[in-house]
Amino acid sequence: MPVSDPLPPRNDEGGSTPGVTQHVRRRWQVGLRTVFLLMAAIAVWLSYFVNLRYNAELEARIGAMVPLAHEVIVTDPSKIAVVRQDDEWINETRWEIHVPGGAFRLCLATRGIDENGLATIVKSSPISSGTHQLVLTEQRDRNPWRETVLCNGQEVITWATPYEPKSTRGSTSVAGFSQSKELSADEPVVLLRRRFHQVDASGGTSTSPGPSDGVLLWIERTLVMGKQL
Amino acid sequence: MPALGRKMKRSLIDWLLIAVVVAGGVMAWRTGRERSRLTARHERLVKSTGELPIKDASKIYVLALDTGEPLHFAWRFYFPPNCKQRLSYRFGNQPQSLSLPQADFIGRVRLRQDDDGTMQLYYHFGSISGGTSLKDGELEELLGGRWDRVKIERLGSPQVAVIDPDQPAVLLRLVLPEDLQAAARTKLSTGMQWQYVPVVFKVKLVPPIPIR
Repeated sequence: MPVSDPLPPRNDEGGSTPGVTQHVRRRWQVGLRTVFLLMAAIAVWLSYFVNLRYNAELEARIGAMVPLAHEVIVTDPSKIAVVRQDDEWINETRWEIHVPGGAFRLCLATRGIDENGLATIVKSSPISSGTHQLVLTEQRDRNPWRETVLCNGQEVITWATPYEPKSTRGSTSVAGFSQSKELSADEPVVLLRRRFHQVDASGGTSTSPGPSDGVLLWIERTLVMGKQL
Repeated sequence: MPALGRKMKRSLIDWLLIAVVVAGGVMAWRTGRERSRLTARHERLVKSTGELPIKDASKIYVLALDTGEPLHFAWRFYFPPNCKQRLSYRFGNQPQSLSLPQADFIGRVRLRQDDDGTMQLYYHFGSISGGTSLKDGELEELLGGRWDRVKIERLGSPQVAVIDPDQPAVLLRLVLPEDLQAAARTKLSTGMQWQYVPVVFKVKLVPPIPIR
């Protein structure tokens, strides 16, 4: 497309200055500025559509990896978000958790654990807001049995439970969160409920019908005089 | 006047184009920012789970992952449907064999010494996990504190390995270095040498035995 084209001098009444060539555009001629703007428009919209397509492709690839990565996903920062991560050692359970703003604590119980509800806390540790890696290790090969909770690699809870002959190494456990889940921060969030089997009258082992020894680990909001901090 | 009209028309076109450029620029900037965010997340996920470029869904794909620990090995696996590959390893005296879960998962093998200095093995492949101890005193004496000198050969490192489902493959092999092999030949009994020299630990992917 020609940008400009010299035309013959005008012969209207006003006349043109002799020797000066006037440049008048034809109907479909456009100026250099317009051409630049047109190119810029094409460039930015092309970038937009390329980005759009690339993002859709990336999202699909990310979607295929997320179930394997076990990453905690936070859509509502006011909630507690938890995901259980792949185990990396025997008797080791791992989670990634998001703790909302406010005062929260990690609680451990080892006695009187029922199928539902909480139990008497044997040890607790405050946990700050943000995303944390939690690891619970349960040492069962020597007396006393020992539970240790690590938060971001730092030991925050350790508890030794003298071995009870009525308890066995067998247990029934409830530890969900294989995919990231968000829960209300106003209710305790139970990470692990493990109930040890007990030796019954016949010498066999079975799950206790009532509260039993085990491991109960949960996060709850810290209350002072019944009020939230 | 027609010249003025044309000038105004051209000016209007330029203003319209400016508006189109600005709108497109904003949209491109926003999608570009999203692209950066997604790229960062994708890179983070690739680091933790790996990404398998599956071009032939009838083959097995294996990619070794970086764990940051010398004796902690992890892989991303893809097994085709109806693939009945098994995992076979020998740690100590007893050879073991495990059925592998199908499809797409991360598997890991980890070795570490406990407080008593006994080398322990842990494995986790999809829903299957377990562990065992290496209670061979002679080998412990030979290798005590020197596991870091063992040569490591692992499948899928540095590039994705593509395997036919009816072919065996060595997933992990820990080989004694030359000087430790020589020491092992003088210190270990014949039976122990047969078990541990030169390959001290091996994990294999084994196809099912065809039924005739």
